Amino acid sequence: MSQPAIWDNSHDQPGHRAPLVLGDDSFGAITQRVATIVEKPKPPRWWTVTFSISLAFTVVLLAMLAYLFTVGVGVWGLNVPVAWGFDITNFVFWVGIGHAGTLISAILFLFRQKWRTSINRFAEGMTIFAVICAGIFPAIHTGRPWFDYWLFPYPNQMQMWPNFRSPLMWDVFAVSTYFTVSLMFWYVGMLPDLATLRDRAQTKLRQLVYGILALGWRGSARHWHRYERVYLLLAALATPLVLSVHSVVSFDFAVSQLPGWHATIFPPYFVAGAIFSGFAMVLTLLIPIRKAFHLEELVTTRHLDNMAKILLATGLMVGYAYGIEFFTAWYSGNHFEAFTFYNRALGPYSWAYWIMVFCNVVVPQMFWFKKARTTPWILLVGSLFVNVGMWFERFVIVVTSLSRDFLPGNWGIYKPTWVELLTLAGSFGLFLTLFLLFLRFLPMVAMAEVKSVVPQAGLERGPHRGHGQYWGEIPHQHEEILGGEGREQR
Amino acid sequence: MSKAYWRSLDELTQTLEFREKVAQEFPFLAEALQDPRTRREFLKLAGASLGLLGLASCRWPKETILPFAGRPEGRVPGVPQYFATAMSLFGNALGLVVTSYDGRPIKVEGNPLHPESLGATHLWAQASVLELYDPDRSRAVVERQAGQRVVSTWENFRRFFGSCLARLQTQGGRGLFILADATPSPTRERLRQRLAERFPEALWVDWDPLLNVQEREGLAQATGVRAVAKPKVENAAVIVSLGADFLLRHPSAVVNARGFAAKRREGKNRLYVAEAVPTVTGAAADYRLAVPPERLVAMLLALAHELVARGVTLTVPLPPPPPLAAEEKDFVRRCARDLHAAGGESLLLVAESLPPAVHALAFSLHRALGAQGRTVFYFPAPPATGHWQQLQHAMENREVELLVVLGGNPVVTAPHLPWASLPSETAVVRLGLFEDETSRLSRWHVPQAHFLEAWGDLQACTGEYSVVQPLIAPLYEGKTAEELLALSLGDERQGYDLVRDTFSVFSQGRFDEELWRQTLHDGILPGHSLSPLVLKEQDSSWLRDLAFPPAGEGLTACLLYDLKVLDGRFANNPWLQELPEPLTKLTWGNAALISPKTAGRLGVRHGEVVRIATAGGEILLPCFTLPGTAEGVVGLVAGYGRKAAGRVGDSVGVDVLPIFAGRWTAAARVTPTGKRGDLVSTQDQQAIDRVGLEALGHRVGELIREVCAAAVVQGLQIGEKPEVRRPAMPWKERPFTGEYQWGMVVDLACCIGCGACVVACQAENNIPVVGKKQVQKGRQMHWIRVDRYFGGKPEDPKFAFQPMLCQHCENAPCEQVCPVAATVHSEEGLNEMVYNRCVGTRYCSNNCPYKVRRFNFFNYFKDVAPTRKMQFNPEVTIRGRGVMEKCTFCIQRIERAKITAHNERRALRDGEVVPACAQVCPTQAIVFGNLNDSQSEVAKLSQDPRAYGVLTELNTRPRVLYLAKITNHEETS
Repeated sequence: MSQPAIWDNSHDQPGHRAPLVLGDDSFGAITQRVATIVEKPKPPRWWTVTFSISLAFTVVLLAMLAYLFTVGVGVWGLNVPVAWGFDITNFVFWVGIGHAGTLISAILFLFRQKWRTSINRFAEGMTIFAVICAGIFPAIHTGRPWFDYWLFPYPNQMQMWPNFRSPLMWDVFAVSTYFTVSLMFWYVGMLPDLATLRDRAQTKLRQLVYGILALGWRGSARHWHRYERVYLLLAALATPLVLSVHSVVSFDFAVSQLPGWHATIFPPYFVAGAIFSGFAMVLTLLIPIRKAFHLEELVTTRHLDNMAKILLATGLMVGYAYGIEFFTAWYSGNHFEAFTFYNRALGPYSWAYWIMVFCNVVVPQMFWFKKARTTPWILLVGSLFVNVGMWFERFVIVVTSLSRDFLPGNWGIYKPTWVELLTLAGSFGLFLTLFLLFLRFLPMVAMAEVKSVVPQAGLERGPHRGHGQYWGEIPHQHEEILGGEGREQR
Repeated sequence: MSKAYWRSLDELTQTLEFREKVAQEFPFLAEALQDPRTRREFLKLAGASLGLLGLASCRWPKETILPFAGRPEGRVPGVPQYFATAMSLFGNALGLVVTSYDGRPIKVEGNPLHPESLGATHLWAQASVLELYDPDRSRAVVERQAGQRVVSTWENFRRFFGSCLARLQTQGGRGLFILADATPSPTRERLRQRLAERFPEALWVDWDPLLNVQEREGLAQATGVRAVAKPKVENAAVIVSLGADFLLRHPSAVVNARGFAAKRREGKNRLYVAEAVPTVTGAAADYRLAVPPERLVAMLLALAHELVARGVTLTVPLPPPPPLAAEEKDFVRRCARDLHAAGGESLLLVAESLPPAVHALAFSLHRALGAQGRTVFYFPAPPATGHWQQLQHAMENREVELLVVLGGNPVVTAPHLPWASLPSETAVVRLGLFEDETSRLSRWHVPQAHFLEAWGDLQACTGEYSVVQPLIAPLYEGKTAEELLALSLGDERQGYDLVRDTFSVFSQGRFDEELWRQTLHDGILPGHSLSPLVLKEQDSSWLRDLAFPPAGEGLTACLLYDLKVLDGRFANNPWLQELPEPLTKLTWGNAALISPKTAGRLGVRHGEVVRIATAGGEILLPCFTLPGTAEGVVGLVAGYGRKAAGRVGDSVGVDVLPIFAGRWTAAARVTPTGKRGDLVSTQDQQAIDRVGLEALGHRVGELIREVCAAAVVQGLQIGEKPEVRRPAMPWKERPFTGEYQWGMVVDLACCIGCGACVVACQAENNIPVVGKKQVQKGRQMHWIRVDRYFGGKPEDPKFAFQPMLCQHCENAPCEQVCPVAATVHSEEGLNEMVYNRCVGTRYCSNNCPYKVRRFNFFNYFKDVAPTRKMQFNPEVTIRGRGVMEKCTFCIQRIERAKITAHNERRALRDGEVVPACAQVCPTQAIVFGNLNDSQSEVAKLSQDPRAYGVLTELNTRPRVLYLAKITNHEETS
């Protein structure tokens, strides 16, 4: 039984549905494939190397934070007028990254996009870690971070509430809610798989840890029933959060009255941007990891193709937003507004603006071509560009608007310092450290869910599968198993 | 801790043993001691000598550190006291009222009774209080033997000085030279005369580069009488200034500015300025012409001809009219027409840098126009002293045996004197506040007492006598120049007794204790002033000298004294170093000012280091392209590049004086070097690109509105519509229930951009100095800034200043976005900043359309020198790291006034609360008060047709309004 290493399932033939996962794996083989990654006594060499580097950068992050806390925010390049720089840029960037996970797992789940099952665990993990990275920045950007807890409404001797009119306050709620729900969603979705790992565990320690984490999952029908309910409810809960969190983040800007920030288009624009950057980050991580762990049959070309299409679509949305911002600025007749955009494109930070436009609008245009969508390395390069571009988008919004606002007498220039650059690098270090730990110790593909979408899953239902339950052909074997019946189905 | 031990600390700090000791005890400090370059190190160092605290307390009079058994009469702890005193600058006296807290002077204000102050001060008076507490001030008598610095004692010095003088007395004082800063002190004058009696052959030279000597010389040449001119700007309808910066760099600048503003507010004066490099006077001009300095003489001569042609009778024969360029001709014709029409209401001011003959001609023109006694008065000048050239001659011929330098810093300010070649047998005795460059060349350095800690007296140029009274016992056992002079006469009495002796002379020969007390209280001796002289031309031979040849080939380098550190005397004053220069907005350094066109011709970019070579030498200096500079002129700002100013002022900028060799101009060759200089300005940190310039051009007209003088004279009718200032609010308006509703009006017609408000605010509100690097990053902390805008063409720009401070918006954007409600509104309409609630998100600053909030990026009060701490205003919180701050409308003053009013069971009166910026303002451009009181000045001004708010379209509803600038152009009127 010979089969190609990767079966291209990215075709769209009328009357023929491509399978969502490939390979002729039985259910057990899928478990084997995913669980062994976690169970190998020694991680692969590349993992050790990247983990060491990431860990080193995490240490750099900690060192930068220690320096920041002992000396003051002045170690960054901020000033008046540009009182926010890398700090808030990084915050919005990481929150944006944190969008893809919940979008993939919750929204696509509700829309019955079954292809999501191969990548949702992975994307959700990325979300959690990105939100952790994001959460660092608002916490450390304050002048007196030891008083950050004042941002939370709690009964206190000062008899002070926080100011509920402030979008920063809303941020606190939006991000913490999003993080909590995402974490729950991720964890609940992982329960059956954790139980699998527990059952397969060879050592006492693993048994213990996975046993505790699995919360006594036994796989009974009642468990499954409750599980499915909870999962559905959490998906329903998480879905509005996907839209709300970045909308609220965008309020930080939109609610202010600074030209370049004060725009009603910001919430949808930010959400689109977040999905754009989130999917780019999923691709950036997924493509090498899929290769490294030989998961091409679970995370198929079709997955890549789909994600590239989303990149293209959201890329067009942000491109549209860039355009419409100029239109609004011109159409409003407000010369401060008009200047801000003129200045973005042609002023001292125009280099950043054009990097942004190139990465976010020009580069994704290649995804009109199937070749670009289905060739992993092209997609990887494209997604890296989008990551860079989306970081610059936030930089452009935060910095250019602040550097030249109403009174020319207070215009200023912001230059980041080495501390800010290393803090940004360190946040990537933390992100990758957490992510690599996740790859090593938790099932990176939702085994239980994937099993439900492999073609074999539909076999027992025989020819009477409903239209919506069709998961594609079973490659290579379907002729033998289904005989003539299979054809009729098509 | 015994006093003796601490007294020798100074000595120890410099010795090797001490360094070793420090290295053992505090290794981290040893380095700082070696190289006290950076601010941090400097602060560490200051912190290290914690002993200074003990030192300082030791200096207090013994009585006051003992606890009071009973409260002395009139003393309430925590309630400030005010004492009148006076300060000398530009050879004139400025009456001051100093606030003292528990024996510490903390803030200087103008003395309303003093004719040179009228309640306002210049920025240097504001900064003088920091100079008093400068930790770098010299603390000990120092002797230099063969280049070795040895800390000595006052006794040793006295012995040396006595024997030296005794020897000189035998030769009639030959070989004794005294080089004094020109302080108009009657006591000093009295002692000088006694000194001249005792040492008839001694030479006394007054040296102060800021003195108007050419003017005195010119008047003496023309009239035969030594006199000083005192303009009365408030009487002048037409003012023509040929390079004279009479609004800021003038002996009477404070009252000049007041007078100019008073007349301008009514739209009744017109100012013509021809100058080489923009000054604040030029910026205030209605007509300004940028011309090289040598053209000013030709223009004045042409003006005289033009006036004669219009029928003005001039008593002196004029040389033939020089050829003029078209725009010069036009300018002169306009000037002549207006001057002729104004007659006695005209005022003609000439730069100090122009030769005496020009000043003489200006006098003749004044007299011919009938201005004498109306817009300009002449008062007797201090008696003539020696000329510095005589000293130079004596130094070159090795005739100087003992040179006594009283104050000043002549080694820096008079580099043309042959200091380096002074023979070793010449004894230089130097009295100075700092151990500076002059001290390093002197055999003896004696610490000088600051004017805020010693007795003295000053006489204004109009004759008013003020007693300088100490606010604190001398911090470092300094002596005054008068005490040193008395010592040289064998009189070892203190300044107090010397001044009382002089006072007897002023009060009809006997000491009147009652009058003395009255004088101390008022700040001036009541009823004592000089009557102006009526002068006539005696001679016209000076007309021969009426020429000012061009400097020579190449560019003309013009010497300018800095508007902040002046000739470098304030170089160690961090407030002044960090104050943005009015026109360039430069801080912490100087630049070569070149017009954009000349820069283009030379291939020099803004900020690039240029090499400037003259016959006197060459220097490297960053170039600043300043619109409005004359073509072919490079303005070089003196006062920087000090080598022994102290930890703040050392090596800031470049010393330009040596290349001028004692002249005001020099032919210079300017070549680019391609290197980037470190210009640090608070505005336009980067050269603004085309995109920014276009927007700036659009906005200035909207931000700084203008009306023409003619319309003001006729009476403006229509002001800003209420719906423009207060657009409709979509939600319920917040009611303000406070009894007082505070508001401010800033009159842009009056603001000359001098920056005194910035320093006053800094002094009042404990605003930290952040240093050059932080300013470069855009982190200056000034609560009020003066925005400077250029308009029109770069060759002939219009200048505009706009003081910008917290607008205390009723609908404040900052308040809404603060997540912890650290900035809130008071019922009295103040936008209040709650420092201890602030977590430092900086969101408020981002949302502030005026960007007037300031953030403590570091703990700027970490290691403040103990003496420096004495200046802090105890009524204002010191802000910690990570906290936002901004203008409070001087809430401490509001509250103090309210408490007083409350205790007296009455309402506050208008004018009772004056913020620091309003109080200092020489032009009274800032008016503060209660908007609820329709009779208050601020309420009336807010209804003025000229009043408008900035960015009101954002519906911020600012409580600060601006009054449109008034320009008096023929075209617009």
